Amino acid sequence: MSSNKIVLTSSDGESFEVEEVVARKLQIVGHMLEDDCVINEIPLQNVTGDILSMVIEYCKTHVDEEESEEAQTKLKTWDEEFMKKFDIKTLLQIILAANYLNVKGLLDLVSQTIADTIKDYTPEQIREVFGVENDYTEEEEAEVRKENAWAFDEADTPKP
Amino acid sequence: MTKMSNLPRDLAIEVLSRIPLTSLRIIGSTCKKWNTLSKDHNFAKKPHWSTRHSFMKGTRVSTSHDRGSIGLDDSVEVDVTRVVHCDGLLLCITKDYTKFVVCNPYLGQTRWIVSPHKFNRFDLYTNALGYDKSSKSYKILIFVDFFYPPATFVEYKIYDFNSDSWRVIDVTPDWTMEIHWFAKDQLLEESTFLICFDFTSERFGPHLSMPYELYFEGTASLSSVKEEQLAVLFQRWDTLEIEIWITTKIEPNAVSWNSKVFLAVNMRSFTCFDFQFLLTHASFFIDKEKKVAVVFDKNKERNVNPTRTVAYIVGVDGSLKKADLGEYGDKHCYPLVCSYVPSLVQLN
Repeated sequence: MSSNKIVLTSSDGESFEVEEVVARKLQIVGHMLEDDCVINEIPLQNVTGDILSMVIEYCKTHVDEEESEEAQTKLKTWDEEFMKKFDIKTLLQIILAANYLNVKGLLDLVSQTIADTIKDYTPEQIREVFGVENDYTEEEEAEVRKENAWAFDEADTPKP
Repeated sequence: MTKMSNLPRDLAIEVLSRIPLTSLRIIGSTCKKWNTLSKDHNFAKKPHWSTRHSFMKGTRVSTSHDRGSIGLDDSVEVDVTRVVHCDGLLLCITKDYTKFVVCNPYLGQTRWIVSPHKFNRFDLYTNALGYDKSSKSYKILIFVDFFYPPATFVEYKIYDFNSDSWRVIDVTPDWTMEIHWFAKDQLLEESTFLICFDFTSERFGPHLSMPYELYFEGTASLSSVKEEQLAVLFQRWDTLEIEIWITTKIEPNAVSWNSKVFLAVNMRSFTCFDFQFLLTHASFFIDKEKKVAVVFDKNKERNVNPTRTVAYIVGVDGSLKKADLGEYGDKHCYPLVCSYVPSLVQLN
């Protein structure tokens, strides 16, 4: 692999110099490199520096994905620890960035982390954290709650 | 601030499709948009759903309610005599055998099917629900053991969800039908072996071994464990001893059983009465974490005409607890329990 350096610039003007192999983990960058051979600096308009730095950290760790079971387990542990650093709001920014920059592995990881985080929330908590508007009328909400009664039962009733 | 509600639809689906179905219901209560998303059948096509692990927590147990009826939607309540399941769909057969109803309790969808037979109380009926991979259609198999002494004959019919019609199929298994059950998708049991019906080729597979030699008049019943394993309950009529075994591998042509029995308890230690569960339709499920089996029956131990539904909670440690589930009017109907995994399979 070439040890070319590429500079990635975030929307707020922060620059990161990374190895080309790391930059290629961002598929959006990979495509640009294929379309036009000589690029040294790539502006990434939709992602801020703080989020981009985390995406780069992920890509650096995942740059050589070894197949051995041991390596896979190690990566998995790293992924778990890495995700623990972020609150839900940061996770939402990362998922948008992973989607925009097209980093498949990170997109999967963050989606799963968000899903695992919100699965135990109550509807009220979900609305609060995610800024979702409750657009049900009182009657409709009662209806949906009734329809979903068993799901609430399980969440609310302490186990015997 | 980034809000979930502002996530593009495909990203929201990416996240929501990873949430276990039980939690998805709570998500649906959040707002209308998510309610629609959480019922999107495209979810079912996401590869994550095919990994059974994401279903684990989704395992639910549905019992038929008092009086052996099941409320399928707001308007209809029917008496159900039998229930089988496959992929989160329940096939319920009405007490008079005139109607079959398939429902997806999670989506609240139902489909009514007229029975291809006029009910005769001497005939024996067996039913199964399964999936045909080539035509991508669910199918119902029914066999009717016609009682015309001295000879009896068996007729096999298939209902196809795509064509919405019944047809007779020509299969001649090399076994006679006396007692049989369907459990996990396509499996049925006859006497002391299991057999699998392949809904794609519409053929029976080979005889599969059982972990236990069933004696005359013994109880044998099947239950599925998270749609991944099969559990079989045996009870001897003479010693009243119960054994429950669990599979380690279950495939159309091969089955293997855990070498150690999951549960072995003698019911006689709890009662001086001859307590035997229903021979072929003892309805039960097991909980491996809690180390119990829950068997549904009536309060038979002191009554010639039992009227109440009871859940017998039998522990691996040999304990027995009883939970009274209320009055059970119909003397010909027994309580049913079915452990299934919810799914987003559409019926319409």
